[in-house]
Amino acid sequence: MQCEETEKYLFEFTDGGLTDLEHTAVDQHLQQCAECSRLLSDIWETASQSANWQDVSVPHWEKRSLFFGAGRDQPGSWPWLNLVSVAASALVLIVVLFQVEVMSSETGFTISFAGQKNLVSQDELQRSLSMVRQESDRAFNANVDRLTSQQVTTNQLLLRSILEASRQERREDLGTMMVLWDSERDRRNQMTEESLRFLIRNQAEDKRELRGLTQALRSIDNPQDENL
Amino acid sequence: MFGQKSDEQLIRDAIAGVERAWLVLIRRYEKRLYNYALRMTGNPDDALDMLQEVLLAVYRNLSTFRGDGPFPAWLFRIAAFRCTDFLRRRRPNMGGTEEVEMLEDQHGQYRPDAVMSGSERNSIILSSLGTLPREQRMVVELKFFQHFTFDEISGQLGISSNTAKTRLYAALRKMRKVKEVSLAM
Repeated sequence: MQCEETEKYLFEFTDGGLTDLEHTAVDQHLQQCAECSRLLSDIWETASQSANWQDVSVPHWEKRSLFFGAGRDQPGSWPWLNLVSVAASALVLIVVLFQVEVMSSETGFTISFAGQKNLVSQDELQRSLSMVRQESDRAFNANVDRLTSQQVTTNQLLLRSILEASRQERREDLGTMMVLWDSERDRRNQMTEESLRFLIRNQAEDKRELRGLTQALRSIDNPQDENL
Repeated sequence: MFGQKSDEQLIRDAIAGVERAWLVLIRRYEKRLYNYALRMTGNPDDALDMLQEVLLAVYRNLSTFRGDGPFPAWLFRIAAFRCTDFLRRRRPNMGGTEEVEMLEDQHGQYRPDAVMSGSERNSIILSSLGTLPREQRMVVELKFFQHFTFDEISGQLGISSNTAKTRLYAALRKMRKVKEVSLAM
């Protein structure tokens, strides 16, 4: 076995992944070849060194902001928005470059490209523009008039309803006052009547007492009369 | 009942938008990846940058993981791509050739002494790896530290198994040579 072939099997030799025949052949070559033996030692040494590596801790870093910060894509999200914007840009470019015009008619749509349609002159554009402007002015004025008349009618109706409500309130107040006044008058009449009855009763009693006193005096002045 | 979720389960959850699943998956592999990056770059700052780049690339490509092989193999395939890209960007005019080692030392990019928390043995390993061109260093890393087979290494690096072996033996000879020179001095 030559060096080149031995190198091919050297790792398998260390792993024990060779057949007995291959293993023997590699082993025999290693006993004869200093360079291949050194290479085998290098493998052992590096493997030993790598086993001695002490894992270093990862310094703190902000994971959330890196992956879930604003504007970050979801894993595997298809950048369809980019495609849409590219497609839209391409469409606009085609429309501009080829002067594409889409016109609707009774039979459907008509797509025409540059040169198939007459260009509109500047004067026609001006005339159309002034007509549109006049039309819009007329419509605006008509709207203003309509709104003004509506407003006046509304104001009148509002005023009428306010006056009616006020009249009704005054009527109710007057009615209430009349009822109160009537009741007060009845009460006072009743009181006056009672006072008069009291006075009449007192006068009658006074008369009776006076009559009694007069008779008593008469009897004192003429006692014979009494004896007679 | 309270067993850990498998990588595949976590990946499914992460794709479905469960942030926690992705963070658990990161925690499971970040130390291994960081140490990988540390040995490849030779200094902690670059290692952390590279770790973040790798994880970001994995996150973006998570839905392409079909599960027809072990997740670590897929993860380290992406890591190998990102690592090569990272080291190339860091020194854009240099390939993975023999001249790299001297230039790297001159520019002080590979700084094993900068590994603050590493032991002396780590420093010796980093010094030894620092003498290798990045292509050879990558094969040594994948074979001796990640314990991948030559077939897996060839799949990850897009080279044949024989090329991987050739690079590995060249790396071993190179490290031996450097060691002999340093002992002689």
